[in-house]
Amino acid sequence: MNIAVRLKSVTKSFNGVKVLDNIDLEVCRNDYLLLLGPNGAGKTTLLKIIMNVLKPDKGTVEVYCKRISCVFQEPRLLPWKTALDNVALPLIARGMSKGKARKIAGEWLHKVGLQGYENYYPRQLSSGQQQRVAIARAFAIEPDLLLLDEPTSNLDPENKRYVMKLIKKLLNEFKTTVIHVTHDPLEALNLATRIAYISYDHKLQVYDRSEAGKVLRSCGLTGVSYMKAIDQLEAHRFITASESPPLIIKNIHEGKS
Amino acid sequence: MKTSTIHQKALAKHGFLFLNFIGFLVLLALWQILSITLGEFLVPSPSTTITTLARLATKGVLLQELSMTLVHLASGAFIGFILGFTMGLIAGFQREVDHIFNPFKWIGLTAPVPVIAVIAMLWFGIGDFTVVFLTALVTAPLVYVSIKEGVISIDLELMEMAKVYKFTPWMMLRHIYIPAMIANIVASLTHALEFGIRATVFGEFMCGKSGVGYALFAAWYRLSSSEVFAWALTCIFLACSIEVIIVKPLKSWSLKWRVQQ
Ligand SMILES: Nc1ncnc2c1ncn2[C@@H]1O[C@H](COP(=O)(O)OP(=O)(O)OP(=O)(O)O)[C@@H](O)[C@H]1O
Ligand SMILES: [Mg+2]
Repeated sequence: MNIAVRLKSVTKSFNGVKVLDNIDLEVCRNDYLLLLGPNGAGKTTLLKIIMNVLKPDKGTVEVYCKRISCVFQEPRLLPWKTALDNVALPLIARGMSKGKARKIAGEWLHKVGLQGYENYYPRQLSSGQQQRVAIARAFAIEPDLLLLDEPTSNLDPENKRYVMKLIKKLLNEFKTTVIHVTHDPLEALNLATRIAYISYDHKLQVYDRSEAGKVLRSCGLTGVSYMKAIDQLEAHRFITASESPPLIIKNIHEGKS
Repeated sequence: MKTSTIHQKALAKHGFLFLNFIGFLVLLALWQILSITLGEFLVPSPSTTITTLARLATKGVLLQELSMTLVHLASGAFIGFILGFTMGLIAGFQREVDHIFNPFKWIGLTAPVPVIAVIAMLWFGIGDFTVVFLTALVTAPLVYVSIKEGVISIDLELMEMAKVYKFTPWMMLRHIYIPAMIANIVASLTHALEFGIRATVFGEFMCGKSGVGYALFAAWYRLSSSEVFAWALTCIFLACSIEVIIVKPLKSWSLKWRVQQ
């Protein structure tokens, strides 16, 4: 099997407090891993370890990906650079010429529906638009590993839907390995090939389809939401990476409003 | 909001220029009256002072001392800036070092300039080096504080993002550190010049062998009141020119730069 990320007994503490406890995780190429868990469980910390901005105290981290992108909870755009330059800079960092990087950045801004906003500074854009710039930036380097850390949690319901739809659309055109942290499993349930859950005791469990119901319940999904999620699971069976069938895009929220 | 303050400033500048001029005339008149009542020795009149100044200028002394002061200021402020900048960077990135530097900072910021001057004189005697040393020592802590605060204020999340997207060290410097710190860099430069010129003139007065501060001292020593006034006027003029030619434009440039962002 083609492994993209492999963590072996990864442990991390901050000031003596354990935040990740002996984590084992394997993510295959073109997997879509939904990473769930309560606040403070250590999800962001785990992503930081994978993107190598944090080192674990113990354990090994193997990442077989060259181009890693991350969409954070906040857009994290450079305030003094235009939308276009914000998207172009990671390309330039990879040795692309300025002109070519700008051209590609423009194309990606177009794809996220921001044509005409190229020369806007972040403060001139709404939060939703800023987050779309961040998405364009993430996709522009054609990542072989895309990390999503609650990319929609600062947005209003309307924008949440829009941004998730956009990510799904882009993933449909450009296939890659995804680890998606969210508190709203419904927003990407139909994409997920596997679900991982970090619990209060900072341990990680990976579940597959048959056990997904259990995870969803522990995420606090009850009543109608829970039924809907289960419907989703029934309707779209979990896709394993090796099969890689076309992704089915259906937004469960659409039924609600 | 920032734009409107700039606007008000511009209005104030032009609208009140006339009033400034009136204030200047009042000052001149007071000077003249004092000179008449107290006599030419205690208060040389404006015209005497200007004549003396012209005489000093034609002799070449004025330009010579002025340029010496500028050399003292430039080298002292430069050394102080480099020193404060480097230490500020280190302390900003390494918080433990910050605490080690703290006692130095307190002494540097709070010690009265004469205290530093006397000690400098004790060590290095009288001369150019002592003046430069004094200027550097006065400016370095100011630069240090400003730069350190700049480093601390750099957004950690942006640095994290830049790391994920593999920004090169040069790109980090150019696209994150410098833009994030530009206001602090400018503030520290202007501080270095504003406080530096005072320290330089004072240093020349107390422990120098050249420069306008020294010339002021020499005139005072010879009891030549017209020359004292002439050199005093030169000192004030020099400090004002630095403020108007360098400090103000730098400040407004950095403010504008910030507003644009
Ligand atoms: N740099 C740090 N220094 C000290 N403690 C930290 C640091 N980063 C994270 N923590 C702590 O680690 C724990 C896990 O944080 P993390 O951000 O990984 O949680 P999370 O699962 O992403 O939570 P959320 O759902 O709220 O985003 C928290 O208790 C947090 O306070
Ligand atoms: Mg988090």
